[in-house]
Amino acid sequence: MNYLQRNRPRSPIVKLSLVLLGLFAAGTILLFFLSGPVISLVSPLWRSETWVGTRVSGFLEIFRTKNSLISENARLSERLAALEIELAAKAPGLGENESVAALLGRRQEEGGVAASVLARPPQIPYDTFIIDAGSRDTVAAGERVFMSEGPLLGTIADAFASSAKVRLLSTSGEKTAAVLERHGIPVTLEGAGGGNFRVTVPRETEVSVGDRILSADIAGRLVAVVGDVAMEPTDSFKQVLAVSPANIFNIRFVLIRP
Amino acid sequence: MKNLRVISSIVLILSVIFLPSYIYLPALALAIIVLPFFWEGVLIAFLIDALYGPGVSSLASIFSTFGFYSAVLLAVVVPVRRRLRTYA
Repeated sequence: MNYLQRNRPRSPIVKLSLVLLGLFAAGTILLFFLSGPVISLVSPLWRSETWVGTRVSGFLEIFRTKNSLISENARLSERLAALEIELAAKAPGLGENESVAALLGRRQEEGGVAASVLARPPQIPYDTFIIDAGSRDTVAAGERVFMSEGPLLGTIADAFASSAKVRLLSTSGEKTAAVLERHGIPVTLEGAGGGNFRVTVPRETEVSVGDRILSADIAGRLVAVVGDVAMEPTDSFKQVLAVSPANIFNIRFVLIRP
Repeated sequence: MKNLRVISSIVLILSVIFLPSYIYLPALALAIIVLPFFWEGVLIAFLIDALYGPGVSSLASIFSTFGFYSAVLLAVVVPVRRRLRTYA
């Protein structure tokens, strides 16, 4: 007679592992292949949310007296911030850039496709936007996205029929070639999320809060503004923390250019 | 309990579409912890990545998505729940 007991089969763990694997596979398929259809399905809901929000806030304005002054104040503050960004985006030597571009036979780019932002942080936990222009509006993956005031924001990650996903330059881990305007020093901007960037420069590099960081191309678009400089006495490098000139949490319109 | 799961799933999907991330992400984590074997939460997390993620460049980058993190949370929570008893 055999008194040795068999081990109980580990069926719960095997079962759990199989179910999790199945879920993972289903989720991977959703992520890789169904991203576009899902966004196309949800886009009308975001558009209607914007439409309803505009109508409701317009209707409620009738019942507000003191609050209308507060909202007017907020609107004017927003307009002031936009004008400040536009001013900051204009490089001091803009005339010089234009003549260099003309010398090289390069036209300054104008125009572009305008789009409204359907979803943005903090609704989105990543540094991405969903915009309401897609391949039907000649938007394609890889095209650059700008604020209407001029600064460069990011690139089109995916373009669908009537919407597109914008990947911001401040996406965590995203590396962008840029130029520190002060002495024209080439740097690499590394996205830190939330509209923030990190730059590492040698200790001797002169950099101050408020310095502009421009794109490395001939147009020299504003990409970030230095917010803080951190350095220990024993460090060989400085950690420069920069912020996007755009408030990515309430941006409403963007421009897309090739 | 089945109705609660269905209602929770619908509420979470609507909050993913309309509410900020600092509301739906903790709510999703709470649902995975509180509801027994809330596998729907893993699919909702992948929905968040499909809707809002910056794109998956390779198969390896799938391990830095909310879907993966929620699957790990579910894998951790299920055996822990089994060992807990509530005398409510």
